[in-house]
Amino acid sequence: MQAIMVLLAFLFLKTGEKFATQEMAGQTVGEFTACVAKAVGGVEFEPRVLNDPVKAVEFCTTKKPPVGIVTPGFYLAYQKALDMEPLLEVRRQKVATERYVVVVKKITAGDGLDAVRGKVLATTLAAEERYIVGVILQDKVAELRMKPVTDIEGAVFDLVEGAKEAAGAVLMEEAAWQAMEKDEELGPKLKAAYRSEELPGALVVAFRANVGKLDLCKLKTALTSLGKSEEGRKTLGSIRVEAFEAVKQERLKKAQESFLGKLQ
Amino acid sequence: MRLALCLLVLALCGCKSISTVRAPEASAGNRGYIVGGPRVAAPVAVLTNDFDALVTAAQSLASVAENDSQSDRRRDAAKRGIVAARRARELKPDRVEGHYWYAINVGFLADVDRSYGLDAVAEMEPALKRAGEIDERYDYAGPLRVLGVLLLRAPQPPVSIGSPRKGLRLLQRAVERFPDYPENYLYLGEALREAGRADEAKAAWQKVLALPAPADRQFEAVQWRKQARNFLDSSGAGGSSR
Repeated sequence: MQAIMVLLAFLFLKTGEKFATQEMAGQTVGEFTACVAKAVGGVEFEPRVLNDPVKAVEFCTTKKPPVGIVTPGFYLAYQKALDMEPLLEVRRQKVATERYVVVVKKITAGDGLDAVRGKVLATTLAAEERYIVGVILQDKVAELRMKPVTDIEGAVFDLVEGAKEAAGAVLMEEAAWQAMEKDEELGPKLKAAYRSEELPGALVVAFRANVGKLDLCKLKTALTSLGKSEEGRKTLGSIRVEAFEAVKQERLKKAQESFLGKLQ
Repeated sequence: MRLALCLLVLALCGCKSISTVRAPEASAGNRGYIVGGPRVAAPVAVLTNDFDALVTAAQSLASVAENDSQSDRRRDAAKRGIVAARRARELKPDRVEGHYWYAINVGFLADVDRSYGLDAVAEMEPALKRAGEIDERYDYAGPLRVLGVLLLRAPQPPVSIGSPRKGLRLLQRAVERFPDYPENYLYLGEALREAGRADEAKAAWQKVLALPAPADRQFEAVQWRKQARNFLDSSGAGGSSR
């Protein structure tokens, strides 16, 4: 007799990442969720890869996924509205610590966020504005103007070359900056004016109202056990994840406080 | 016979689509840069020290790795192509062919085995750079073209090595080197579109439609034109010179 499989939606959100679309990443993410579903047993996941938080909210309200992997900014913004509970945190490959830096031209006067004031900030995270202002920049820059971009390197080239529409500063992951500052062409012309505190990684979350009979303990075990087998490590590698780990609650709480900041 | 480099680049919630970048045919043509020979996928084991035969095998196996209908056979061909190209590279490290075909076959392996995607990028980049240092004109500026597309389509650091601006420059150089070769314009158009230069992108794709196909690339040219028309249609320009 064939076992009954429950089909469940699974949200993947990577805000502003141009490759985070169903068309580009759907198959790879599908292979990942299939591996997880096999370990959980009795379920099948139907993943949806998105890079726009608004579309992610729409997806959550229409498809009612019980689980997802989302950015911390999305979690903090919609935690209550979507009744999210953080289950695990993502540790990415090649990323020791999740931080952001603000990069400006080396000749820019001032350091820290003084070098950013009055400038337009190019960022892939523009759709998570409150996260940028409150958590990454700690509410230290008033009246920040942002320029949404999908190509950080392009924004940096525009900055360096003085392009007409160039932003005056670029917000990027520290790990990306570490690669860029070694670049013979770009590195000598740039400096990191501001470095954020350590930030939460992407979060595996449960949408509590949609969990139903999905066994979250089994799900957590399945995810944290991936690194223990060759196949699991290969699966993790395909989505460039080093491991799924327990949520660093203190760091998340701190981010939450910063997020609420002036909103409180 | 068409040969394409299919490269899959994967990232966390960010995986790049399969690209198709033409690589040279395994036999005639190629302006004398490629050593001719039988187009069969000769067993690598018997070619251990014959550079020309290894190159021919690597080219032929790349063709199988692209075109075979069975993924197992594609995977096997790509792996054997890698072995042949690697051996050719060892025998004559100052010749372009081994480096170039190594990168092409690695790309095909990544296409069949998606979990290999980003690792493939790390293999392809130095091989293509070396190939370009030795002879960037090989295969109508193949090292420039393939590396350009690799940089254009790969995710940016820290995930991978993607650099759309540098990819654009390489593709511009490829066009400068071979201004009458249509394929280079196909990818130049893509790079220009990514850089937000829509009008220039359309002009590049129009060039694909306007240029005559090289004698040794008649079949491939049909595919390039089809792609160029698709790009033009999706950009709202339409492929007028059909």
